[in-house]
Parts: sequence; C-alpha cells; structure tokens
Amino acid sequence: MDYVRSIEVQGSGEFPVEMLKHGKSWPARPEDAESLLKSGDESRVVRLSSLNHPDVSKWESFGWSVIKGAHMTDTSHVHINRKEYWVIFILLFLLTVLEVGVVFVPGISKVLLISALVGLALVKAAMVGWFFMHLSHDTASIRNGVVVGMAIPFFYAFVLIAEAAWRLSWTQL
Amino acid sequence: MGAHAADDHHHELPFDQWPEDAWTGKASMGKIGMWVFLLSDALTFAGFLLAYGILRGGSDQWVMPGEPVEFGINFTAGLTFLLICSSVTMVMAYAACVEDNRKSATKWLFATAIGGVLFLCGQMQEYFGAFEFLFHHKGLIADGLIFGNSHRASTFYLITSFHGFHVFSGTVYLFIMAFRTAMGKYDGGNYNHIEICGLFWHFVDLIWILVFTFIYLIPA
Repeated sequence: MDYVRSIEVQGSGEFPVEMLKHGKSWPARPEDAESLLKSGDESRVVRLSSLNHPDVSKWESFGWSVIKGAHMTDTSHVHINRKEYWVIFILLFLLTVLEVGVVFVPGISKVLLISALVGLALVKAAMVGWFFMHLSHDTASIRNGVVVGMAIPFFYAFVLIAEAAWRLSWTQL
Repeated sequence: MGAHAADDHHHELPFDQWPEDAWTGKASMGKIGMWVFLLSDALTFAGFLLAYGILRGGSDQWVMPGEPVEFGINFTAGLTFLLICSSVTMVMAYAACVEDNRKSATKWLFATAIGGVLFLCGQMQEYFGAFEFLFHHKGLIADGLIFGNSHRASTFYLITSFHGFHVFSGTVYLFIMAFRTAMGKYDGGNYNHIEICGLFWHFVDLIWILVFTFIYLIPA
C-alpha cells in the first residue's frame, strides 16, 4: 500500500549505499543496479524507485544531488497557527452551547430568540469560513466572490420576508 | 517513456510553481474550482432552505397532529459538536501535511473520516432508531414524522438527507485522501489536495451550522 516514487540522483565516485536504506529506495532498472557498483570519477545518473520523499540535504552531504523527484512544495506563504485553530474550535463549541441554551430561556420573545439564533449561526459559519477555510489568507477577490455569493440567498430571504409582511398588512386593511 | 507513469508527472508544472495571479494570488486552479463548486452547492442548499422558509411562513398549521413537536435538540447538538470536532481534526491534518509530517497527517485524516462515519450513524439513529439500544429512541419515522405527509416532514427529510449525502461523499473523499496520504502521495509539503478536501469538509460543517439553526432550533 506504499506509493513508489521515481527519483534520479547524480554524482560520481562511490554510491552512498546507506541512502537506499534511509529513503527506502532501490535501483529502478538493471543498469541502475550496475551503476551502484561503479566508482569512477565520471558523473553518472542513477534512477531509483523510492518509498520516501528524497532527503535532498542528506544526499548532498555525500556529494550527490537529487535531479528528479525532489520537488518540495513551496509552503513559505502558508500560515499555520494551531493555537488559533484550537481557540476557534472552543469558541464554536461555546457558541453551540449558547444556541441551545437560548432556546430554553423562559419567556424570551420570539423575535429576540430568532434574531439571536440566526445571528449566532452566522457568526459560527463566518468563523468556519474565515479561519478553517482560510479565507483570511485569500486574496480580496476570492473573499469578496465567496461572501457576495453566499450573501445572495440572505438578500432573497430578506425580500421574501418584507414582501410577506407587506402582503399581511394589505390584507388586514 | 510512456511505460513510466510516475515520470510523466514531472512534465506538469507543480501547483506552487504557477505564476501568481493578480486576482487569485497563490490559490491553485483546483482550489478555485472547489470554491466555485461550493458556491453552486451553497445556492442549492439556499434554494431548499428558502422553500422551507416560504412553506413554513405561509402555513396556518406547521406541526401536524401525530407528528413529534420537536426533533430532539440535544441529540442534534451532539451531532453539531461532532462536526466541529472533525473540522478541527481536518485543519490539523492540513497543518501536518504542510509541515511534511506524513504520519500525523494520515492520523488526523482518519480521525476526520471517522467523525463523518459517526455523524452518519447519528443520522441513522435520528431517522430509524438504528442505535436504539444506546439512545432509547425509535427514531423520527417511528414517532410519526413521515416524508410526504406534511410540508414539515418533507422539507425536514429533504434538507437533512441532502446534507447527509454531503457527509457521506465527504467521508468517502476523506478515506481516499487518508489512504493516499499514507501512501506518500502528499509528501514534501504537497498540501494542495489536502487543502481542497478540507474546503469541502469545512463547507459541510458550515452548512450544518445553518441547517441546525433553521430546521432544529427555531421553535414552532
């Protein structure tokens, strides 16, 4: 069930055999196996099948370089803040408790109850979108596109409610 | 050449090597595609929820005789908590993947998928009383909430099962991603597909937050 990746390393002299163990790798073709045993000064390329992502700096410590299959994803712009994730998790939990609690408040007016519930749900949904779906780190274009798209149904609901209220007032004249 | 499928991958430009876009920045094509899909999906849910609102607002009698008056808020609050938990495990998997920690990412992804399985079990209990021995409740159908008998029952089952279908798809998606992560497909900080999967899963949580309020919490 392991994924076998194909990598190519280049170097000269003796092949660093311990790298095979380190990377869970083996020569890909018969000529690569032969190439392992060579030790001349001539630079040669060896293709390996490997279970692990190649450790580029370790190969370089033996004077060999990884020329294929060593691509590391550029994560320099990715912000990971585990503390923030856990704080949001606890806040979502507390707001859920609050929502259920509000329903059982004795004598609360229906308008106040519904506004509180809808408000809490919108805050929770926004927290999930903003922090867990990383909208906070997206460009303004993506953010606005998502927010406007998601807001359309709420505008529509507002129009429907206003229209229903208007119709109700008309029939009661 | 063609015999080595793994080689052919190297001819594609990796997602993080694309030039930065003036509008979408570093976001990958797949990520933008997922967002577009999620927006269309949100509007589908919105259509159902608005239909529910119109039917409910325009009805003289919403709860029909013989139907349960409420849907079991405490049990459903538990399901909400379950989805919140599986959202936080999802961001942990994402963080582990960015940091090139295959073992940790796999572990968190499986935990997230199991959250999805538990949610589906919860819904089976809610509808059919599949775990009656645990919760001592025969389910909403046995209580008399039958699809097609009233607007309330039909919209309830339509919306919650449509969401449940998303949880099911998301759980299958997560198991696939967990196995692929275990295979080392996302080594080297290759977080793109994990992030896209996370977007879908958080969206399922986000929609549930709204469904929980509109369907379960707002009293009759």
